[in-house]
Amino acid sequence: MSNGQRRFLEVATLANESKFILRGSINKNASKVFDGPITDNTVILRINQVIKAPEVLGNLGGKDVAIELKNSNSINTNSEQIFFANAWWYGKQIGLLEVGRAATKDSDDMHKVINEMEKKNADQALEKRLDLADLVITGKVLETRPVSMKGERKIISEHSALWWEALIQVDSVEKGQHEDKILIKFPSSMDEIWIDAPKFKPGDIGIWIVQKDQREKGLPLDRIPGYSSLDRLDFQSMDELDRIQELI
Amino acid sequence: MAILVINMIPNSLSNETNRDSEPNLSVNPSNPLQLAASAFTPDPGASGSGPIFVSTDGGNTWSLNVVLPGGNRTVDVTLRFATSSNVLYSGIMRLDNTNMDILRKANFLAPGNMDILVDRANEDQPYVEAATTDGGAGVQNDRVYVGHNDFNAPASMTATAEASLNAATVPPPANFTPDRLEVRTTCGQDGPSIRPAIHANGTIYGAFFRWTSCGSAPFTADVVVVRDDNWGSGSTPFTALVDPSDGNSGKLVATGVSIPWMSQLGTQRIGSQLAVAVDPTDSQKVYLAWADGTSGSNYTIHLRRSIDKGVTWSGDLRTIVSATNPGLAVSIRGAVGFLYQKLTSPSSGDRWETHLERSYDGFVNPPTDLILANVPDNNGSYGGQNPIGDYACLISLGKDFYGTFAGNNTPNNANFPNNVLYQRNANFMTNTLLGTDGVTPVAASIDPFFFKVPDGNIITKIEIDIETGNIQGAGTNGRVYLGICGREFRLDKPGDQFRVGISDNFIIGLGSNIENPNGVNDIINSPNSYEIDTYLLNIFPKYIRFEPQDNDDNWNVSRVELRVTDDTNIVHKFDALISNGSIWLGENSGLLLGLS
Repeated sequence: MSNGQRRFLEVATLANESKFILRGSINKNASKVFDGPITDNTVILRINQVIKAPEVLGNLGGKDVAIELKNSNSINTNSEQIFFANAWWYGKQIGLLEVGRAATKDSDDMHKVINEMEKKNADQALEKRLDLADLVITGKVLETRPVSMKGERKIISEHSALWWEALIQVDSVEKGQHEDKILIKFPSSMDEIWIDAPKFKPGDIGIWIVQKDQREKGLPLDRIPGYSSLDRLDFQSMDELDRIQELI
Repeated sequence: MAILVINMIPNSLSNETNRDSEPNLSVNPSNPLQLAASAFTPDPGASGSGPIFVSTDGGNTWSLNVVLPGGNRTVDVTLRFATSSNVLYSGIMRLDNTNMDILRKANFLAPGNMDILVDRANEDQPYVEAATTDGGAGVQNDRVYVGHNDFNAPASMTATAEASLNAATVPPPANFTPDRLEVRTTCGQDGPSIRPAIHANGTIYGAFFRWTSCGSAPFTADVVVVRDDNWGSGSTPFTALVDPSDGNSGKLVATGVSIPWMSQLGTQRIGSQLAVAVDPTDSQKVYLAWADGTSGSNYTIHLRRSIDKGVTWSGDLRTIVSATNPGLAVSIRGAVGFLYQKLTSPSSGDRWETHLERSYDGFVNPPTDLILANVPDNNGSYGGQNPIGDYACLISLGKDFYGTFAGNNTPNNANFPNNVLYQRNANFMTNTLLGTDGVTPVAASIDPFFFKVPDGNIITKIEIDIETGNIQGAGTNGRVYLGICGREFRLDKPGDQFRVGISDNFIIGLGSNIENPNGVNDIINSPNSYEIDTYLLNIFPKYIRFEPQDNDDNWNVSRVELRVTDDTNIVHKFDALISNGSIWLGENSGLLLGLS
């Protein structure tokens, strides 16, 4: 592996571990500025360029954040570097914990690294769902109805799934084997536990990533046997079919 | 001190539009400037852990510290500081696997997740309370009780308190064991809300709904209170209170109540709302509030009290219709705080009124009612069934009340009758939230709000005019004191006072003109040193006390007017009832002159 490749890999690893990638320089003592707790390694980072940061925080360019460095001895005040970090404090300002650093000459590669990394992470997340799946099908929802729980002990909680099932006409089976119709369970509840779980209605067309007798989600005593697609990645639009076929 | 209502969302999160509801709160008893709070707020950085809200200035400003394991946000979450150890405890339901975790953190401000003490599946709604006891020989023990609905419990008796008598430093599971509160048969389980209340003498109450019929809503339930007299440390904990109707432990405070499980009041789901609080000055006094009804429209909160350790109970002291999320707390002055969120339906659409009622006489007379918020039942982009949360929170520390509630965050002063402060960017002229750039409009959503309601307003200035009679011998060289708020101040300023026919003006506090306003170590003749307030002003007598130089020293007083200013600039006036133009004070005629 060349030095360039090795460096690229190092930077990619840092980028993968960090929610914040910022180009900036250290310019202030944190004790005079930061509204959160500080240590001897906490300094103020003036952000000159946001390479990556959570969108909800808005444009951080030109702003100061506090960052706890891994080792404050190696920092050169006012010299610009790329900082990889994660946040632990959100107040009037943001407090970060350093993951690593890179030279600014690496910034040209940074956007390419981030794009590749995000695509890779997205593929890995979807691949994980596909690996767990017993079935992957395409089809269309014909009807939905509540699941009959007669005779089965069920717990009652504000977090109960309130199971419904969707009868799906199967168009193709991409993984596993199944007949031309399938019943897939889904939670009708909009409780915190289930608010992100896919909900289905008649006419829905797409790709279902299906587990049988899942043991992942919900209170164990609230789970019911059968097929289900409970993760937000477990229902995909038909646009993703090529990608899914490649990942399977 | 004025009432404080604060929108808890930090300025750096001005762009956010989450549903940040079901808030819970704790104030560190050993340092009341330190507060911790929780809500459904996610980690903006999507780290895989969730945040708590923290404050180090008494709740005036709030930040997020990401410390809760189990997903970017939690499901259920409550938290409590122990009395004197500074340790923060929490009970959560994790988002990733729905397990109940009981957590601990020695320094709630430090980065890093809380330590997991207990991790267990098939649990519901953990609700934590904590206290520190003197274990003898300088040992301090944190006693922690987490009410939860334990579906692992045998025989469908699910109401449980997970208890540890020494939780501060020992390794997991930190001595936690489940104490079963339910002893009667149920329809398959109890209701989700199990609430402990701790008194410093080791009396612990627990309250829960015993579900007797839960096939289809409305369910039927009994409202049960249990008690332990020694920290739950015995072999049969929480069995001290027996109901004579069946000889089982747990007083049946109300039986056969209807529970409209998962009905809606406005857009908010309802079905298990319960609160309990014990008087910190008298463990025999305990207050209970619960909600019942057959539907949202008749969902009613009942408030009751026992003064004999739960053996007998009053009827309803308060009854609030169309309300949810009751909170209860009792201050060290015996004031009872009663928090609730009431749905009102004006012609302009449903609104949530958040009320804090306070009573000093056990609700014999109508309580003082503060409306902390009056906001639309409008949830922004949130389309779920739990917009404002299954509970709000009310606690008391010292003489003051603190709490949290959730509601629509439109920045409109008309929505907050007792004022509000926003940390996030907001334009109160256009009633618009603004983003981190201070310009871009942000859609309204649900935010958590913190409040502090001090008991009584701090007195900042005491001013008194005393006129000596205009007759021979009226003056004195003796000492004169003002008695007020349970203490005395010496009325003495440079020069001569109490001369015949002269009116003297004395000012204590702001603009002081008396001798030794701050004195040695700032403890002489300053109301600020004792933080006296209008509550003390009302309960203690106000008087002038004359200390003559000798038996022949008499003093004639013709007029006294006292003016007391508090920190909301209200001036309270009192004067002496002097008939016949003046009154003599002296060894043979009396030394005190009352003011009213």
